[in-house]
Amino acid sequence: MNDLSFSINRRNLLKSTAGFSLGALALNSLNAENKSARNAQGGIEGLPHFKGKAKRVIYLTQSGGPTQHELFDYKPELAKWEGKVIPESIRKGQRVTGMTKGQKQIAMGARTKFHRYSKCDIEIGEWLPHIGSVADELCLIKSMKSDQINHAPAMTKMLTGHQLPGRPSMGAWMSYGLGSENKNLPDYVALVSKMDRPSDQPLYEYYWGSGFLPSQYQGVKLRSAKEPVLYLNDPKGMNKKVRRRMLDTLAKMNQQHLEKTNDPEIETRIKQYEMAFRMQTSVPELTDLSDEPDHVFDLYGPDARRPGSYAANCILARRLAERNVRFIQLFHPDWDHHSRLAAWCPARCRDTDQPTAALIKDLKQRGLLEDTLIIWGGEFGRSPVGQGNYKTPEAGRDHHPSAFSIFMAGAGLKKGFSYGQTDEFGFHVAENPVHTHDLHATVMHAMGIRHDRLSYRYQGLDMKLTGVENAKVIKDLFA
Amino acid sequence: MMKFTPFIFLLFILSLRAEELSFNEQILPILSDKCFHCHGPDDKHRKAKLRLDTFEGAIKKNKKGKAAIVPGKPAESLLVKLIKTDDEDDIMPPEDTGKQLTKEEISLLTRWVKEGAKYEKHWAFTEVKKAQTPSVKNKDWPQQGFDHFVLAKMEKKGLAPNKDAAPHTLIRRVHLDLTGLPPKPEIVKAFVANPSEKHFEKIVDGLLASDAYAERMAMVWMDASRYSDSDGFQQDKTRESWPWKDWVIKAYKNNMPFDQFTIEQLAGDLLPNPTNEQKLATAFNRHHMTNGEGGRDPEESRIDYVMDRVNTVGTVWMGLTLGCAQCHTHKFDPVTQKEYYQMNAFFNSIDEDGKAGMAAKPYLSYTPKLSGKGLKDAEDWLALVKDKENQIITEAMKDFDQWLSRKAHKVVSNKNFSSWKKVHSTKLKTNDGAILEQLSPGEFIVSGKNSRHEDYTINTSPNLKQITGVRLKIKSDENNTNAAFSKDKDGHVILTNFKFFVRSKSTGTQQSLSFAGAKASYEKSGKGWKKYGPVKGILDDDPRTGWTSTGSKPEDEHTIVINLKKAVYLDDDKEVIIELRHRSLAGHKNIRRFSLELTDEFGSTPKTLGETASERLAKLNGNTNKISTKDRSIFKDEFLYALPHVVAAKNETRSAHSSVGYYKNSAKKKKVMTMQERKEPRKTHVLLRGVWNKKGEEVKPGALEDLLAWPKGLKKDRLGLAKWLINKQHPLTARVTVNRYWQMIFGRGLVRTPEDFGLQGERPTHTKALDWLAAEFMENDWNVKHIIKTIVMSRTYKLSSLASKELIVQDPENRLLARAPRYRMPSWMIRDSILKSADVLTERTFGPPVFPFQPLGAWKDSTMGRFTYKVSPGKDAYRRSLYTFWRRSVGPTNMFDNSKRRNCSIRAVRTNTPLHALNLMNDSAYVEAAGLLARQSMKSAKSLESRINHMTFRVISRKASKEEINFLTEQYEESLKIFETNTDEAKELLSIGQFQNGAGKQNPAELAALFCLAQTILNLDEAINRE
Repeated sequence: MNDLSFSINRRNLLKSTAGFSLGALALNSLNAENKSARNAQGGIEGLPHFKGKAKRVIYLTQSGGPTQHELFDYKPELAKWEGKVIPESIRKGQRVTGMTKGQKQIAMGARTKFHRYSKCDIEIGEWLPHIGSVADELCLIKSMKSDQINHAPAMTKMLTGHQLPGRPSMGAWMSYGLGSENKNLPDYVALVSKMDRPSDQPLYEYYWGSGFLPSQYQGVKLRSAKEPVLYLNDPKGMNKKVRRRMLDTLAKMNQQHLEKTNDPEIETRIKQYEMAFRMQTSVPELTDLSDEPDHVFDLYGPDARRPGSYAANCILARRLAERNVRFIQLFHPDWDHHSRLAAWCPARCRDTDQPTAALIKDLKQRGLLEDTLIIWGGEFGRSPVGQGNYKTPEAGRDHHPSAFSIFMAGAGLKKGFSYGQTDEFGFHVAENPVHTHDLHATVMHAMGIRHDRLSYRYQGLDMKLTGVENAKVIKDLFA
Repeated sequence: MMKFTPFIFLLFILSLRAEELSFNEQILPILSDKCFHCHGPDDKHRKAKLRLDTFEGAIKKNKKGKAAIVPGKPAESLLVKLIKTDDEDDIMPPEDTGKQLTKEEISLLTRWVKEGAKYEKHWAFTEVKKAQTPSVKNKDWPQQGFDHFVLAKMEKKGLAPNKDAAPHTLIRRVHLDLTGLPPKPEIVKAFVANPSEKHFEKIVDGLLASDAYAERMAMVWMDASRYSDSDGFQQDKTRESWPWKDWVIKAYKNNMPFDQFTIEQLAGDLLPNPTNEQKLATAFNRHHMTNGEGGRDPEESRIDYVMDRVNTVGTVWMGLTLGCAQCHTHKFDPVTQKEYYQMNAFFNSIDEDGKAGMAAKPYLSYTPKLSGKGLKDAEDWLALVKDKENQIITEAMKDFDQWLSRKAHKVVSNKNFSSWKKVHSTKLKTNDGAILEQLSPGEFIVSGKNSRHEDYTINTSPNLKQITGVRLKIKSDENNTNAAFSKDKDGHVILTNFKFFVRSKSTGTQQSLSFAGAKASYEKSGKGWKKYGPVKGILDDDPRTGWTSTGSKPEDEHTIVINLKKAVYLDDDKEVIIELRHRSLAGHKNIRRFSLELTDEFGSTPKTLGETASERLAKLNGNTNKISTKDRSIFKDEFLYALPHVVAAKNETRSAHSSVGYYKNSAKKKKVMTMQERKEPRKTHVLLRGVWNKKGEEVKPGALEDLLAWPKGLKKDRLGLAKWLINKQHPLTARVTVNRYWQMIFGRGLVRTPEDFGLQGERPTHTKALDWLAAEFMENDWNVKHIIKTIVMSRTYKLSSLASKELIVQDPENRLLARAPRYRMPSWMIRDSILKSADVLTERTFGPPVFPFQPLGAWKDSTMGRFTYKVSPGKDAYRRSLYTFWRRSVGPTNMFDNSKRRNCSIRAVRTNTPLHALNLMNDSAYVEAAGLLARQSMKSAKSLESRINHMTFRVISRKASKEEINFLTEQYEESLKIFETNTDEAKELLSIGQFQNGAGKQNPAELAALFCLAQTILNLDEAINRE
């Protein structure tokens, strides 16, 4: 069937001819694995649009909104205003959440000290000493902007380009556009930290979902359980030889049926059962860390020995990168520090600081950092205004989308580089704003994709990750 | 699913070319896709003041006196000039839109202008009429009116319809299509023996009358109505809206006409003297997600909900993407932004305030009447497992006296017996500079630096078979402030977290264990920011809670006991790591002296602060006759809780108990989110750029005038809107609805974009057939069963799905319907069918949601521990998927590629991934079903061939072919050999699930080999496809 089904180039199909615009249904079958006329990886013909610096992305998602005032964006002036109301001339009518609506907007300086940990000028809060030690590798953006002030809409916007659920997340777009470099593992893998504390911001499955794209592009969550992928393990008592034997019969009978019906979906099905069988070996090989030497665990810190921890997930991220998985996304929850910032935030820093730095070092050592794009960040930042009584340890910070910090590293980005500025209170962006759309455009650029040229027809519209607003690639970030 | 080829593509275009030009089919799609974005209905974003969506706009002259289109004169038409120009700056569409025209399109547009540039109304916005039946060559072929149109089109394209499907295929097909379940073998055999038209009709009538039909129809409606048992956002709280689902099932069962179905769901509350049921029906409008996020403005949420209602009505009844008009006038379809908000006004005045959880008023207080059968099943199950538990305990207790005397011997043979064993540490560590030392076994002292935060880590390899609990004592020391507990100012301590890990020495892997609870000899009440006090605060990962000595006397000694959720069993490879974390806000309140002990006793010991029963027994010198009644019962527990099969039986009883409670509760009053108008209607405004608080002009309720003018005298409220929708002059409702039914049966609609009948949607493959059905639907007063019957009694329906290679080349997407479609069943239908084939499906209609099997902990990570998934006991876990509890933040794991129900979804999505293969092979429910199917087949016959046929008949409604028998026999023999040497594995496989109980009297290897055949058959592509 190969020759006749796929002799058309998919891109032309997508563009489609009058009257025959192809909906998702037709694409479902077109996207079926491993057909000749798409690009070698099963992505869209013609992609990547150019040679990108990054082959893969590791997105270290910090859910809840980490505070930039204690971690990345040092504002001595803010400390001087401690206890005073921030003037309206600075605030410019910025919306606040329902939680602090009635409160006076009182400045609260950083609850920690900042240091220059390495050679470059970047100053990092002392709750993140390990990240500080790799500051020379970082490309820090202090001028991030979002337009969503509540968690779910803001995270949805950050990951899918739109505040309402229903669109594909970044990793799904990459997988759809670029295809897979790996035949034994999914293209897009999500890893969620196992926490003992129930978090108030759930990590919805759609955060790594495929939205309106066919579901083969959705992220596959690797669980820290006996069964890392749902239904991966054969039932108890199922002998590997017996399973293999069953799959052989199944393939034979399906092949026979293919010849009878000429339905090419059957061919795909046969392949998917084989891939499932291969995954039963490749996934446990991936998640079994027993072949990692002690010095690796030491590098990632004490938590690394505990499966499901952020540290263990960072080791997994490196292993996934080694296996050429395209988009690797970690989620660490519980950064929503409305109160008791000074005790609560360091706890989350402790979970993530050393492993994050270790991941950067480890990738570098293995020569993988140069083509891996690392992103660290949340859905928004936190306000320069204190929440609760700023004089007590009770004080925290409310959500703040109009200026916040994230950092990236690797993949041809400038090193030890800081981009963008906020005003002296860290309230608004003063220079070089980077909107979430711009970040998406920039990440796609790093991957060799023109963000305005990767679209998918849905409900009569050509949908893009970067949406309809003007998104710009921040070329300044690249060396 | 079919593939697209360039060849057929050209074939289509070429064949169209020779005919008269059709504006609707050939020109409008080009204009819409390539031009309307800037030159369409949206006047705010219109470029060069030019609109091409109307004839008047297209011929209007610009300032220079030129017009885009001069009918009949392409050379004078600006449009033609600009689409043909080589000038990169002038060319239309502009290059940066990425919407270049093909040569074919350019020539079509030119020809159209030349022929007079005639405009027509978009097909879907014209009135529904039955066209004259076309004449066909093969006059005997059609059986229903619309068959003529289908055949005529085939004949025109030079195609002949496939032959009819084989009887067994047809009968399986119609069962799956109408009920979602495969036919019983007897029915198949009877029909194969007599495949007459009359027989077929009888079967169809029977299916349409069944509850299974109503459930099947309801399942599709659940996706359309975005029904869920949870909110969708934040903690994703559970709702009580399921009585509405029963309403839907009942409506389909009683064949409620679609117009009434529409009126009651959209506006039942506004009917004169509405019944409770009619009010219940309006829950349809409230199944949207709700967001109770703390900082969110409830008004913003409320506006979202109103829009969701409008968008849902737009998609489900009209096939329009109304949401596009939220920010600006629709770019393609005749929906202005103002009209969009006029539609909002119909839904804007219910008495809601944007809240979520169980505070999302208005609610209807509704008492369900239909849960009786569930209660009976639950009670029967409870009686069964209770009985089983009693037997198990009686059996186990035979050994109790002996165990007790061994115990007595043990406690006296040990001088100074204690239930708690001291921790001999093998390694000690601190995090922030303090010095931790072991004074004597189990006794620890800290000296040196007193940092703000400090963690102590103690490794130990206890000489115990298992550990069930830990005892920590916090002791005062004269070196501390006030000779109390710490070096801090007041001498008190705050312990924020207690951690217990088990580490494998060989692999280094560490597992963090969970706790059932903790008790302390002293607890300060926690209030204000100094919430430290309650001891349970040390069991979480939160440094803001924890235990403190504050308020106690310096000389006190404090005891904390912590019991593990499950006993941890130790061997030589295992090491225990205990961590005490001091990470409080206050800081420096670090414990300086403490002791650590472990216990291996089950039952009450790990919850006991003082003397334990074992210790009292030691005092009695082991004289078991002197044991008090209370202690005797404690020992009984200790004895029983150490036996895993007893614990399992007890858990089963507990879960059966809660199931009885669940059904009793389900018959009580429920709060169902429904529609109820406010006394004072809210004002509705256009929202600028669609932003919730940017109010523009005020609007009154109103529908889409271009589609159908609002009838005179009809009140402008929700009820009026419902009546407007089911007005027989409405161009969309009947078309869109019939198309959905068609899609349900044929896998894809006659309009393949069922959610978009507008200009950007696909044109129907058979416009006249669709219109014929839509008209038939309305002529028969919206009789749903009639229209479904009409479809399945047609010739088009009965064709074989086997396609020759030539046919696939000619029509890869099956747009001509010369063959029946073959497509993968929805995942829920696969599940229901497997359960039915294995004869384990619980066919009970109506009732509250149930929790089928799902991998342990699958929801845990995503719900952050806020929701514990407990599999329903007994028959509930085997109910149809329609009754599966639906949580939006993380869907049922077995329903791959189903809509997540976050918003209205009417498009069938089918993907083909390795994860589905894993699901079908390894889901314990399917493994059990294969086991049950194997058992049946073993009972049914002696020969392997008959056994195989027994299974294939149940799954794919036919005998296996000779070759298939050979394949399966080979597999059987080889698997048998393997199992004969591994009978334990065979037995394990045969014990998975509630109703499998090992091999019993059967030969385990034979049964397991048959089980493997059942798995092969259930995983066949044919088994999961509707053919």
